[in-house]
Amino acid sequence: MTWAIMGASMRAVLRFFRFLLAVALGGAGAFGALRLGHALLAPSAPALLRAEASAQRAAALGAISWGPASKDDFGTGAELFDHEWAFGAPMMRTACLAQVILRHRMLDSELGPHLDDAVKELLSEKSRAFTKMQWGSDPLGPNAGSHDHGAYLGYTGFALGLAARAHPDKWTEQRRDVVGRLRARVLARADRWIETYPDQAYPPDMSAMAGALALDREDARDEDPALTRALDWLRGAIDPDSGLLIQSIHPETGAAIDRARGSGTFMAVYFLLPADVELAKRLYDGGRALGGEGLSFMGMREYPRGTQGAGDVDSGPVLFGFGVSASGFALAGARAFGDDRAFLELQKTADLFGVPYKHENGGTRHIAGGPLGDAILCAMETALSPEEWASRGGAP
Amino acid sequence: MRVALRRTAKAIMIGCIVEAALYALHLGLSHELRDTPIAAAMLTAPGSAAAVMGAALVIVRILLYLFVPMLTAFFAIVALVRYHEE
Repeated sequence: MTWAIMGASMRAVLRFFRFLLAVALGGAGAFGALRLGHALLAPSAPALLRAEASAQRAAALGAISWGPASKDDFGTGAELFDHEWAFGAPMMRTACLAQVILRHRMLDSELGPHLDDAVKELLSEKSRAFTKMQWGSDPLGPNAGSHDHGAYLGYTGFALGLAARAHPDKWTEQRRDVVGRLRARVLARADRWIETYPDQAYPPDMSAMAGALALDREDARDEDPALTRALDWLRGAIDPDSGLLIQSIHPETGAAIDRARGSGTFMAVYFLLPADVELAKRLYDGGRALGGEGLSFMGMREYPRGTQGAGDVDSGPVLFGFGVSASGFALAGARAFGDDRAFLELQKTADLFGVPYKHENGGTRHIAGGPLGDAILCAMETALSPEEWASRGGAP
Repeated sequence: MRVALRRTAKAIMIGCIVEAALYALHLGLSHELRDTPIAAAMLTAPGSAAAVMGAALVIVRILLYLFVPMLTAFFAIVALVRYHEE
């Protein structure tokens, strides 16, 4: 009887161990399958990281494939945001195309006409609609007066600065006009932040203004009081606890209105690369702490760890704390500062959630990206590194 | 051993059928949503048809690339190990 009980117990123990072994091996197999799925995504990421012409061309053609942007393309539910995105698409497309052409001159014959089209679209009346709606004046008209139009002048000046470097014989007059107006506004605002819209100031927009002013210099060593002021403002808008850039600030008091956030921080890193590499690196290092992984996929949080917040028009959808914009904009800093692992991993995440496909023009286009998403992705994936900027007269 | 192999083959076969169905769904949804601003719709109108289809596409993609292969591998190996001596 005792032997029978012992035998039964042994069999039960063996069965239990066999069960444990099966679960362990099954888990290992599942992990292997997960890694395989992970490995199959974003096959062109290493080529993009190495800045190979074919990979960057595919990204640029993907951004071009959507054609001119119109506010009707977006349907965000708010007319202002539709107009903003219709401005952002040609702005980022201009930056993307200029960067690819600067790096691969042999692609100028193919991409150059598209760059010119993007600049024309950027300078068109409809691209100014968002800022005209809010200010009630034309940022390029004679009656702009004391209206800052900070976002329009900053982003347009930055894109024109890049386009002028890719095509030095074009856009000079327009670029000087835009950046001249921006410089005048910055210098006129001694004790007050430049405003994106009346009584609204956003440090991430200020980073684009700093980038535009930096690209207007003939030589990176040239002194520009407006640029110095813009950079000082930005340094003062870094949250000391998180190292992130505050998203929105009171234009008069400089007090934070919104929190420090990932999307604005990583976007500022991109725009500051030609203006102040040290500041860009400081922000990237602060933002890097937002990185996290789930199921082997990397993303950047929109809000600092331990805090939560909802998605909005700046962050894009926020899933499990990870922000679409923060993760996309982080690609530029990762590429610029040699954070290869982050670049490759974020590309895989973008591939999984962006749903890419080959467009008939040969470009890689993302269904979830749309005209603005693909333009931003291309600009970030092809961002110039500090060394490349230094060799082109950018930030010292 | 024969039981183990049969169960493993069954797990793999079910996995393959689900993968094929998901792939077909992925193709259909991708084709349908090619010119739809799903990111904007998901953000500002989560209940709209475009947002729901966009979310479905992303979920299908996650299942296709991650969860179904993971579950298939798990059950196939568990079947092989648990029943190989019965």
